[in-house]
Amino acid sequence: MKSMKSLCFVSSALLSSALFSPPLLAAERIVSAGAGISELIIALNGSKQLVATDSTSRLPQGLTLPNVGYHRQLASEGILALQPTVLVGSDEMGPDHTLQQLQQAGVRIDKLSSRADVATLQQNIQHLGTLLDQPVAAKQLSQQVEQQVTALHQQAGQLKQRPRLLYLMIHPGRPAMVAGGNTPASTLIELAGGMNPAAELSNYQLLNLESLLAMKPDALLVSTRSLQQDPQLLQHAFAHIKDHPQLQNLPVYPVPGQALIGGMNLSTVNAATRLQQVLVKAETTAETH
Amino acid sequence: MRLGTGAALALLISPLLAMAMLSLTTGALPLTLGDTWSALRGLGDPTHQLVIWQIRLPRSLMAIAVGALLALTGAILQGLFRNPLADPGIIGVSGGAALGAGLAIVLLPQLAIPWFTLGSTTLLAFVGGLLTTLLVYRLGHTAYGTSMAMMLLAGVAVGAIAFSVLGLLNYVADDEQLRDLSLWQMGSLAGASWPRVTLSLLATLLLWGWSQHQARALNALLLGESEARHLGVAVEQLKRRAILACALGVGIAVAAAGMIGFVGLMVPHLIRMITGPDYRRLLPLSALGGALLLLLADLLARSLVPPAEIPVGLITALLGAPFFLWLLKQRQEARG
Amino acid sequence: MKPLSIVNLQVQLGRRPLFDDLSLELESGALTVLLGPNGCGKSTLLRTICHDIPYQGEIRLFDQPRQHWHAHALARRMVVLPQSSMLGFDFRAREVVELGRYPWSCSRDENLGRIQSSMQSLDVWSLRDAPYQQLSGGEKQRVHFARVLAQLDPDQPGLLLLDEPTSALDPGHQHQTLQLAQAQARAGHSVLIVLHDLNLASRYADRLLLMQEGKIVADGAPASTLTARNLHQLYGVGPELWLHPTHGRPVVI
Repeated sequence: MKSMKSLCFVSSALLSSALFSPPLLAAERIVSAGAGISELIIALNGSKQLVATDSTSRLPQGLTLPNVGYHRQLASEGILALQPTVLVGSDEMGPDHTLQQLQQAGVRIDKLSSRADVATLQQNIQHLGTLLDQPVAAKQLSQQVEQQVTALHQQAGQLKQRPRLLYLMIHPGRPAMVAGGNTPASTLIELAGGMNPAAELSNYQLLNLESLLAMKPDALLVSTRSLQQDPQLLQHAFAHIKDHPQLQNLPVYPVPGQALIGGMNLSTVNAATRLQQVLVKAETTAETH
Repeated sequence: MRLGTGAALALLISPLLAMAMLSLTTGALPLTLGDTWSALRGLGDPTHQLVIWQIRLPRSLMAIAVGALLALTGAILQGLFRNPLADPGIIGVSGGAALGAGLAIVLLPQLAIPWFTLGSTTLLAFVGGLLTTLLVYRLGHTAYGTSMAMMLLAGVAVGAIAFSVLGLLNYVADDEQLRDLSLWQMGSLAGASWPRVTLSLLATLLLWGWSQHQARALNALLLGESEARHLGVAVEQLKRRAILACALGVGIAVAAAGMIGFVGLMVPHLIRMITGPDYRRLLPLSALGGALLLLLADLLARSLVPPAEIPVGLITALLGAPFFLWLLKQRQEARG
Repeated sequence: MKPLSIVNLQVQLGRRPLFDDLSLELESGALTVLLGPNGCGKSTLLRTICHDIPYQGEIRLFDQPRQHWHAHALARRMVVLPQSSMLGFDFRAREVVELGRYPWSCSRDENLGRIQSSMQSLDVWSLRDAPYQQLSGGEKQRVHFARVLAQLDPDQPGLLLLDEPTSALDPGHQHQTLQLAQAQARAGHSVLIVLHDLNLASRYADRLLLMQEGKIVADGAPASTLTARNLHQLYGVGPELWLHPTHGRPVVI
């Protein structure tokens, strides 16, 4: 009985403190659980307010922070020990049980959408700008993204044909997966002025050589890291690819992995810009031949 | 060397209490013994109280309950199958529970049952474990009663089917689901909440109470089924109830904490080496030993890489697999 | 009172009817040996009596139908010594004997007393703390004999069923086991043993039952049942029969 009573006491005390304490904007201590979100926070001069990030986040050189683990498997006590005021992450972070416990302890939970489109990215920039009390930086960043996207659209108009591009996720020893329509990879392809023939699929789906042929890609995209690890990875992922000269001579372009995890982020836009340059150059070279 | 019951109890209870204390005072958030004590009494810093009452206490209690459940079911099943190397997975519970959890994670990610606060993964894992056990039991049923040899084979086959369907789910799962699935299979006590704790503690007490009551009959069963029947044991009834009790026990443990291997195999075996195979001593000591082992493993799980955690099933497997090999080696040498 | 009476017993093994209207009565204080070639049904008869096999007909134990007995009460009157027990767990010899106390609920001291006296009468009390698995074949057999004695009610006539108790033993231990069984018969219990060895049967049996294809073809004292004609009918060979110079029982060569 005693334990139940004190239990009720704890939760009611916490509830009231969470309800009635005014938000302290300047002194936020932030745990960021999401690669794109950590990237935005750093871009918005918020690295001083960051106290920890999750295992998918990449930090700039010289900045080291505690790692709270995988963003879907967060542990409440580890986070509480860092005394954060707010946990920011994508709508995929969890488990709910941990989020509830953190909320009970007075930590605010800030879930941002992980939809892979430019509008969502702009919303997230605005939101984090307010949270970090960096309205000027947020406006600058927002404009910069706007300009980059506009430039991408203009350049895309100059391409004579929208190239058919497939993003393949290839891990050694496992079958290749192709990025479907609702992935950041697909957004990246569209932004760069290409089209994703696998856009009808959702998430990442398994792909065999026959389906690959059927989608008639003009070029393939793979992650920079896997291409560095194994320059022959297509030959390894698809047996008998050498029997199909049109596939064997297909251009393969690397895309940084950072641009593709945790929803649409700044790296996605940057990667789109670089990819577009490659596409334009490829078209020009093809014409001169 | 063999120890008496009293000595063995003392040997387990005192470290269990010490380990429980350590488990309450250790964690990412540094708390002194004094802080812990006031938080336990509902005094002091509200964050401390929350950490103790909502995180560490339910988690320690769940480690105790789940560890005891796994060790008890291991001890009972080893006797039932007259095989000291049997483990709770032998009756198909683990495969079925994993399949149930897989279905919940991959095919029904949006399924939320309003009144059921433990979540669809927990529910389907439990149902899956129970259904496969019933199937294995039906397959082992013959005109002359339940054939344990047939159940053993059926358990292997049904387990293989469950894991291949799980493989199929792995194949269609997206990256996030795949990650959730593999984390679930590694087992973790991080989801400890009071409803889960209450359920698993209750299951532990019921299973222990029932099996303790049947300890002499379980002893007699070690002689063989016919011999036990000649001693006046209602063998068929005992087997049926024991399998059902174990399926419920493992089902609840797996649903509450995911797959945690080797506790059910390792603990009863160690206890037998210390105090012999008599169930009257084996059952309570196994329960204590299982609780102690899982508390220790969980303490390691949450304090090795703060502020992140390692799944506790990974730790028991890392401790358990080498132990299993050592055990096999020992048996081999003992036989010459 | 008859320890065992079987009336019109019928048992099916698969589709094959094994016994057809078999009837049999056993007396207290006698050692009865069941003989017969492989597959004649002698072990099945024993297993039917101790309820391992479903049957039709009537089996009465101590004048009560089999199905009227409470399992514990019956276990205190009828005990079964197995051929060999595969005990894969590391019990002490004393703990194995203690398993025989399962159908009894009495004080700790009484249990210990019965365990001690039955182990002493089998001459295994000195082995009480030895691990069962390290005992020799003969010692294991005696420990199990002590276990079934500890199970048996000492104050009432009981029924002991032994299924080929000598098959895994050397000649010395074979005689020892049968002497122990004989002693139990002399103490007033009824003993029924399935054996293969004709000379052991001849030497120790008060009554011999010869069985062929599920039928009892000869029943009586060894001298009247172990005849050249019966043995030829049962085993298809014609052995030589002599009479033993000291006890006068038939010897088969």
